[in-house]
Amino acid sequence: MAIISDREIATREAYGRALVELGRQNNNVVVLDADLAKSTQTIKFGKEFPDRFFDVGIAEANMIGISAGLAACGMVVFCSSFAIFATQRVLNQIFQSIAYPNLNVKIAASHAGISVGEDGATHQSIDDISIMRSIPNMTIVVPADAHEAYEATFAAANFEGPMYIRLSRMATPVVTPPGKPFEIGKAIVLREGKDITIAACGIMVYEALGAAERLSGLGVEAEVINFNTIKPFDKETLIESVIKTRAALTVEEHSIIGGLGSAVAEALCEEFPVAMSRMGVRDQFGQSGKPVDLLKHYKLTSDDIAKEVLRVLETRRKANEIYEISASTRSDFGALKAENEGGMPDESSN
Amino acid sequence: MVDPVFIGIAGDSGAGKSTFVKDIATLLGKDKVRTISFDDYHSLDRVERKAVGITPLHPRANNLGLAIEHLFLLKQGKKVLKPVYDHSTGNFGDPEWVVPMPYIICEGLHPFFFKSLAELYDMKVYYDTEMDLKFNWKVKRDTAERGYTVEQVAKEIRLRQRDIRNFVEPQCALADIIIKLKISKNSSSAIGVDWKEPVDDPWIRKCLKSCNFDNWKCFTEWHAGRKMNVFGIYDDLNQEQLKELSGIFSISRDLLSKVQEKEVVPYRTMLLLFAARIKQIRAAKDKDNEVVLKNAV
Amino acid sequence: MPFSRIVYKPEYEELEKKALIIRKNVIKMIGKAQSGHPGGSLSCVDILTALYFRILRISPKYPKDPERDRFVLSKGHAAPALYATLAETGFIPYEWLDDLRKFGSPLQGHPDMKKVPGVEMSTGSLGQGLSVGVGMALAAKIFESGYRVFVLLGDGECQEGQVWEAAMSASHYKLTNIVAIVDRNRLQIDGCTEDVMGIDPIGAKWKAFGWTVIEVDGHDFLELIPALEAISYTSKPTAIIANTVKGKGVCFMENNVDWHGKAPKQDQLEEALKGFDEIEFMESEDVSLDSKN
Repeated sequence: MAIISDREIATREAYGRALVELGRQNNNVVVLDADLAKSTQTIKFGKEFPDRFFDVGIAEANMIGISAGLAACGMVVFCSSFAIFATQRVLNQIFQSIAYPNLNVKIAASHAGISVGEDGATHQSIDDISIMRSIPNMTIVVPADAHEAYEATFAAANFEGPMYIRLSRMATPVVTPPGKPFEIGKAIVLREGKDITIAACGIMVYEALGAAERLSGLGVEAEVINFNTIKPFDKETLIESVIKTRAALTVEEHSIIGGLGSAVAEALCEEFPVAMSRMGVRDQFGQSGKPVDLLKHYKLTSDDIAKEVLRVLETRRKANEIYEISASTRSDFGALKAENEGGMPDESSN
Repeated sequence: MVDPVFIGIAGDSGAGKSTFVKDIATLLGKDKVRTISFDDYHSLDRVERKAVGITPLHPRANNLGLAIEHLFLLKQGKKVLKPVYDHSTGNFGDPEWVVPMPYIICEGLHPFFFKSLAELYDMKVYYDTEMDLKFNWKVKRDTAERGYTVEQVAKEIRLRQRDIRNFVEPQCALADIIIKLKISKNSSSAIGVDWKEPVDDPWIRKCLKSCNFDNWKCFTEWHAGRKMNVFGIYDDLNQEQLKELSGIFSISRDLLSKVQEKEVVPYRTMLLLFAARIKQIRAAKDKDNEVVLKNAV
Repeated sequence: MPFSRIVYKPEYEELEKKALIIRKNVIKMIGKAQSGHPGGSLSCVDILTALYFRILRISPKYPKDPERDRFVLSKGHAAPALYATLAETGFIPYEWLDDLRKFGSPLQGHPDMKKVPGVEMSTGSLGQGLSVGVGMALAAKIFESGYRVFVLLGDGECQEGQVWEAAMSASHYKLTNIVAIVDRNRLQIDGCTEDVMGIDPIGAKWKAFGWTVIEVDGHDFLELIPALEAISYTSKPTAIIANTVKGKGVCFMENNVDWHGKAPKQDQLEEALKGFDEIEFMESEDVSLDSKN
């Protein structure tokens, strides 16, 4: 039974509802929280299954340890808190107690990114994806909307191993069809285009689609890919797209260091280097404000995305010009190079 | 290694067991005595008992198997970790260590409810109180300390009677001595003592056979299927009579020195006799152990 | 369903002999690996012996029996002691002990639950084992199973805040099926625990968190066994403060801060092993590293 919504709905809301349904289907599902059940929406599960719900209070490290113990005894464990407390704060606990022994614990963290809003920097997680990415055995899932969050919860329960699910506080529009089973590790092309690849995750997917609409009016066709799994990273879909477009832009409600942007840059650098740019929080802390104001300030709106696309394309055009000019001098340069390395560079490649 | 003398004291709560045990311990020497209250072996706390719907008088509310294990280990000279029940809260506290001592007194509702338990003791006493006395004491205690009315106390006693009859009184059949406190008009304390011992295991009868202690009423009666010699101690003893008594029963001087009063009430007489008996058991045990040691060497 | 049973039920003299075998193997394997933590491993050998040969309802034939008792070595650096105990109980072959900390060996420097049968949780970074134990005890309640959970912590480890988070939660969830044993050897890496960051009165602290506290001599089976068996009648989670000697069994290591994480050199190893041989009842036992039981 899926969520069908035509209004804005938060991913955490969908998660809360999915948990209840999951609890009804599977007796081994256990849910934990750290005094934030009303915010993370695990309270719904807690009301219906009080014997399988443990709100451990403001003790996140203990929550992770208890989750590991429960998983070691055969339970399917979901534990939740705010993203910043469920990752940064308990990194070593996740590393040693969950990831190293590869236990079946899903860390479903809500209130990720700067869209948390008024609570400010100490409650806004801008590095949860990068932290989780650096841990081996960890699968990272970032649903783009409530429909995906709902299905991802079920996919997580069927998946054996540690997983991180990134959810948001803010109600956001849906961009994917309801009831579509969530495939872990498969990025989805939501809009085809030939001029640039926009890789987005989470609530930024909606913004990316908005930017693509705007760009279409200017004659630029952007291909928008929803990277709802960051780890394992779907390199094939990315490279396939970039071979077509020859330019890439990443957008995430996360630091540009270590998250989706870095994953894309790593893949492109090793497989198919193209002009690219990362959009996200530029190595800064968050701050208080209305989510919509914060998104505008950190340049994470569809307007900003459209502008950045044009800038990337312009940068690529200029780079090509310089390349053309220097091609003529390349033969002298090439001889020098050939002396050192052997073999002439391919002049026709561009 | 310490070879303890095990004394079991069974009886209804409110019969005066704890006072009796305390007084015996004083007579025998507090540093030589370890008292174990069988209430500590309750398996359910107050809340759980209410949920199940049984009184602490029921053996099922007590972990008697654990008690057997502990007494057995103590007999072997090993120390044990005994649970602790807190009467004021109705909950359990931290367990405490029990080290074997020369005398170990186990008092409670079911100290020798099972035969396997009964075999562990060197002396088993069933301690009882006449109903009128018990009622008066209980009324005094409960109205003063717990704020009950007389009707409430009577009701509670009535409710417990069935459990007492079923679970506590049967231990009479296994007891070596039955001590019953009764109302006595002759004594200054108004309390007299009936000392009952089986006809086929007499101690007082043996000691008395040479002489007649005419203060005491002697008769036989059937009790729980056994014929008992009953000695009624209802009068106070003066110093002369006390001397005579100590001669008959070989009461040692250090025991006598603890009895300071001029007129010895029946209760104190009973304590003296009991302490003397226990000391005799202790002496016999020590002699046995000496023989064993001598033979071993 | 396979029925878990205690493998051994020997009297205390047998336990002493087992403890001696395990101690010898601990020193041998650390000496062979030239790496490891002898002090903290030796101080908890008697506790592990009491658990594995008397208390725990486990069987090497059924290491994954869902009804088995769980033991979590929260002070993961005492892994050599755990490995030696697992070898003696039959969970792992004795040959593995030769390869402690060697590249490719299942016996990692700190216990890895994926590689070694009989290890219930991967530990190493301190303070996390008790939380895991609480989770396992909660699972027992959910499954309505009678298995018990035993967690061994170091005393320095009690300086970690997470230990107290776990202590609070065990008491809050009224878990009577969990026992925390604190290996109180009074030393840590940078000195005496009371000099570095005093944890005394440690018993009172556990009591304040709602645990039943029993203080014992951690090298005396006459006290350890009754204390561990007290779980059958406690109404609160139990904390056993076991007063031990770090490096117990090797005279130059006893109570010596230096031997927390240093492996004995060859001559020191020989001296240590000689010390074990000088105990009488070892003469009739075959205690080479390849001893099979």
